[in-house]
Amino acid sequence: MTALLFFVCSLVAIASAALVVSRKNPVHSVLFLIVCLLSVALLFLLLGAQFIAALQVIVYAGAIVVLFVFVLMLLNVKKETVTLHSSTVQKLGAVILVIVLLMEALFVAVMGVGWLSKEAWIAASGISFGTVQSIGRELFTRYLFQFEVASVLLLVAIVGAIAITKKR
Amino acid sequence: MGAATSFSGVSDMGLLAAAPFSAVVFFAIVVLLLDFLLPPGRKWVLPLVSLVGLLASSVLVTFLWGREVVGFSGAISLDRFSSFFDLLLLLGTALVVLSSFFYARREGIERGEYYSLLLFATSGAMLMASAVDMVVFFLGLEILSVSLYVLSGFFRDRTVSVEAAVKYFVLGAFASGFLLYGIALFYGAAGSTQYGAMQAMLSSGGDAPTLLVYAACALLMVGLCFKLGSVPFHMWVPDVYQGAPTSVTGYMSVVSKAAVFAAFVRIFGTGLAPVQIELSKVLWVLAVATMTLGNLAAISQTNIKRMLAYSSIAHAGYLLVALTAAGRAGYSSVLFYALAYAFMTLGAFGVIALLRREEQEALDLTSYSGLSTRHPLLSGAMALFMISLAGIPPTGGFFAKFYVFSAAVGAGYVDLAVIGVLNSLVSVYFYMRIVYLMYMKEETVGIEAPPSLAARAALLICVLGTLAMGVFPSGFARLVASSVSAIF
Repeated sequence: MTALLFFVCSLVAIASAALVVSRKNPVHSVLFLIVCLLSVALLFLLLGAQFIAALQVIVYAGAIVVLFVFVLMLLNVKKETVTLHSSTVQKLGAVILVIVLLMEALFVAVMGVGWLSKEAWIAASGISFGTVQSIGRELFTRYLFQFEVASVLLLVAIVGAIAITKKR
Repeated sequence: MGAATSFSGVSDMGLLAAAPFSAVVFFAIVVLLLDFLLPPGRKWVLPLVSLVGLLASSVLVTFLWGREVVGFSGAISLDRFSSFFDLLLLLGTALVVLSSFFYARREGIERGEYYSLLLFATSGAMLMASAVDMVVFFLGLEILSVSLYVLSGFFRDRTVSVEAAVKYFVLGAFASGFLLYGIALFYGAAGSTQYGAMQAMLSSGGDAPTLLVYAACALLMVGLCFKLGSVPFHMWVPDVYQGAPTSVTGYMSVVSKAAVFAAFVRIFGTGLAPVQIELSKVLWVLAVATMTLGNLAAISQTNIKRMLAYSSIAHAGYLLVALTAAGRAGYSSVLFYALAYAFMTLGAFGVIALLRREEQEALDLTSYSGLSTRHPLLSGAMALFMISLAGIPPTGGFFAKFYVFSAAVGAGYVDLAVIGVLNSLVSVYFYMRIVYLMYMKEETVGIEAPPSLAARAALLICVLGTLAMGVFPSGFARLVASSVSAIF
């Protein structure tokens, strides 16, 4: 079951990623990007990393894609104006990458099921690795200082953004 | 899971290690809030409050001098090394704030965000110097960088300034990516983000994942060298230094550079010390390329900020010589050099920030012609800073270079020391050209140097510091040696 889910998810991820770069219409590209990010989120879930899966959905498929859509609407790009000048080398690279990733997915799905479920999978779920609870505990004990300092970084970013945009 | 228990045991001690950092952050927020309460005519209070904050933090650092505290389960370390750099960074920021009193008002950027971001940047820099954990180091670096991206674009109506900000931001974000990838590999190799864990893993003699460690080293080095402005990652330096407000340029070349070197010494001197010999081979090449390119490119510049930008690249090269030499002598000379460099560079940028010609900043080299007839004291100070940057006695710059090159010879890098000395000879030409222009040429009309007590106080501190380090180097040498001994 896990292997089947893994194979489906990775297939969707690779296919949609290829469609992101090959579509002429930028809105279609963004929509395929959402599909790609969601299937990667599912892959994270299969790895037992629930927290990262949730983050993937909220931050990437949510916030960042909204940002993309906003930019597209603000720029009001017409379909014809964005003919991409991708060279043959780039196209070749993309095709090779797709093939390699597909092979990898196939390899893991066919050969690596036992390895995946027996060692990494069990070990990961055994220590409740990747749950919101365990990450929260780490954040507020071992990484407390880092957590607090990150808030300073966010504050600096907010102050900076206001400083460069506000009216005099 | 011993982390949770050990944490509750040392919670009060952990706070102590972060006290100087917290004080600066606190005052940065105070300045930000004060900005809303003050009427437009009273903005001079802001730099004053910033100075109080910097002073409060330095008092804390001095009070805690000599104590060894590792806080927050191995995230941040308070020792003489971090205390030395804290004091250096706070002093550098204080000098920048002093010269900003006048400069910021004249150029119309005297706003709460300006001083607040300066303080935030300093807090990030202090974090980098005291971090013993990769995540803390990275957060400190990002706090410093994000503040500087904004500060370098503070002249929103000047194209050069906006160009500087965009260039710095895009390239800086790219370099942060390299750094982050390096940190990820570091974590993968050591199983922990702490420097100590890496050192223990490497020196245990076990089966270390060599490839992973070297890949991490390479990526970390790329990220750090970008922030230092070392060749071949120096392309952004001249444009950003030229476009940013002059006070911010001084800040970037001194405070942010010192912080990166502090982190460099901590990461490569402690965490990755067991592979130092291999890394020195790479650093050797970087040092030679950086020194040579910086000095040669500085010769042909006509804008003084660009010239000092290339000169700062060259000085990063001399510091890389010290890092190549490594060991206690090498790292001591890094600290000595950083302090001497702070005095002379902030002094030079202080003079540049003061001068004005035809309602603009006097950035052209020809503006300095005959400066000595009308402003003898200012040109005397500028001449001293140039002499010190060129490395001529009796200034701090001479002994800084002397310690660096003697450390290189001591570690067996005679070739590197020879190349370094040849490079300093080249640099004499373009530094002395300023002195020549000021004293031997006809006066340029329309150069003004407005009377500003704060800026002149900053210049006086720089002059005294440069001379003191040149006349009594042994006292400073003892100080840096004792600071370095805290981490080895």
